[in-house]
Amino acid sequence: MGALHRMTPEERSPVEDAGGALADGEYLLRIAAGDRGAFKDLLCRYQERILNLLYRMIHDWDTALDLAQEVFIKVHNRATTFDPRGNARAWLITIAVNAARDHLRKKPRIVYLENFEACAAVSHRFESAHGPLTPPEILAREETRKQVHVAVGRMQEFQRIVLLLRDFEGLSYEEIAEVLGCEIGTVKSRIHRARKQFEEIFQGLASGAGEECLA
Amino acid sequence: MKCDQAREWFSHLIEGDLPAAERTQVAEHIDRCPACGERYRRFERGIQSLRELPRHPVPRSFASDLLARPELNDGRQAALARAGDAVLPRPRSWKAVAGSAAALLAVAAGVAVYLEWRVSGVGGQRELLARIEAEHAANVRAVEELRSRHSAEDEDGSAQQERLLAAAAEENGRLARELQAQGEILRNLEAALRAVEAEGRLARNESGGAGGELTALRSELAELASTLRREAGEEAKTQRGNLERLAERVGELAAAGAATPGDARARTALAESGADEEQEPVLLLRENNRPVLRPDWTHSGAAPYLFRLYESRDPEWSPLAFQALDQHFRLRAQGFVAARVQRERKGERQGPIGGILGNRAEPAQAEDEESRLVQYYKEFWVEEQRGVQRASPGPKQAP
Repeated sequence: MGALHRMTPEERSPVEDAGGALADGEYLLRIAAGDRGAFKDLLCRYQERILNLLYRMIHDWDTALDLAQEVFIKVHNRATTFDPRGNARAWLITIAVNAARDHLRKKPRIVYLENFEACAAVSHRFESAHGPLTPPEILAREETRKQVHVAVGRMQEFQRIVLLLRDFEGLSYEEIAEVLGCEIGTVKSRIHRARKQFEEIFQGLASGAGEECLA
Repeated sequence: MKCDQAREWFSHLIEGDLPAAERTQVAEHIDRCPACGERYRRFERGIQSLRELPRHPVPRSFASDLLARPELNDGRQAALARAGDAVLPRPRSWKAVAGSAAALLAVAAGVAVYLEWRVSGVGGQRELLARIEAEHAANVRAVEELRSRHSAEDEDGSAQQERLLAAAAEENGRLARELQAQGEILRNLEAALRAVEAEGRLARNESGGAGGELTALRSELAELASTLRREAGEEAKTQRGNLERLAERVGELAAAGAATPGDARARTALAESGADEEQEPVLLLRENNRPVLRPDWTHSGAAPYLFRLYESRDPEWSPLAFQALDQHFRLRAQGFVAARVQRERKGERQGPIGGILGNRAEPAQAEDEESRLVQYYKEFWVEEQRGVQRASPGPKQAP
């Protein structure tokens, strides 16, 4: 029994190369110098990632689209403030996380509608590392995904953000510490606390999950 | 290990950061306890599923909508403007630029004169040295004046101005040191020359007809002295020309604009009094923040300028203009003024004018006296100009 396989950023975003962080920093420097083409490239590279992170954090696709636009405007207009020695990916995600937290703070707590596929169509991969999935496996996996989505939506906002940064976005401890502005030790304890909350909610969905998810 | 305790470690088990002993304990509990085992496997699937949650595609219009938003450009321009304010120097005024250039050119001209002097002979150089030292002092004053002007007009002057001024001051300092050293050399050479001449006299007196050697020495000495005198005379002539050209050049620089030592307030006063700016001679200087006239103001073209400057009633420059006019015309126009005063006395115009020709009037009458005296000087000058126009040999004296 070992640790679960964690997808690396390279796996999750094929457009990134091994030197992604450095390349991103160079993009930001070029944007700061007024290179509109660099901004388009950076947008192409990060728009899906930022948009989906926002969606997972606030659970509202249309609002996530609006927020993502605001995030990229900030990235464009604040590129001059980026420290080239810093982590560009963490810098971008910090802007997105702050935008989501601002939005969640201003808005009244939304009663989460657990309509799993309210957003656009999702491309599903009906296969695993061991080959094509059988129909029961596909159903079980889809069921689990629905429950995960519901459980994440029911978590406290801050815990949800921490969990998503680690297990959805795949950030390192150092990057999460930079995004949240805290020490690495604090990050570790917050991650375990968030996972515990997720686990409790997720286990509670085990019985009658289908009914809740279809609600 | 109890179930609650084991479940506390689930996250660490997934993270893989448990020490070996704890990991073994938790694993054994999960194997023995079906509920905890099922619970852990479900949690593990949940976390794995979270990591594999699909990413929804971005609508095609997302990027185009974003790139069309006006904030994308306005905000960045504002940010750039803020950044620019912080790092870019403010535009320098042309006055400051011209001032720095004038200071450097004046210093350069001084250095050029000095270099020419340095290669010249010994004789007759003392006068030249004094003139160069005076020129150097004028340069120092010009630099100081420019520095004070810059600090007043452009207190946050750019680093480049500071560097220019510092360079000018440093160059002047170097020039001063060089002049001092050359003065010392000159004095040593003169002392050596005197010693050689004394030796020659002594030898002539003591040895009488001591032979051809002494005669040859005397001849050589005479030839040397003659050469030195000739070279010194030619060099002095050359240096005088250089100094005149330098003075002319400084005058041109001064006339080039507000970077010159002219005073803006006096210029304004003159402009308001209708003075012809094209004929305006460069007369105004500030020395230690006090108004002074250039030493070479006493040329014929300066008179109308001084009259207008006096009539401007500027509290600072008008008295100075009066002093200059009085100095310039007092002797030349003495007869003319006396005749005018006498004529007025005959017309029973007794009054403050009585103090003009020597006996000073009361302070309350001084201003009126000055004004009338300047009027007489003006009339004298007009007559003088008419005489010049008629190509008469000299200024025409009033009857």
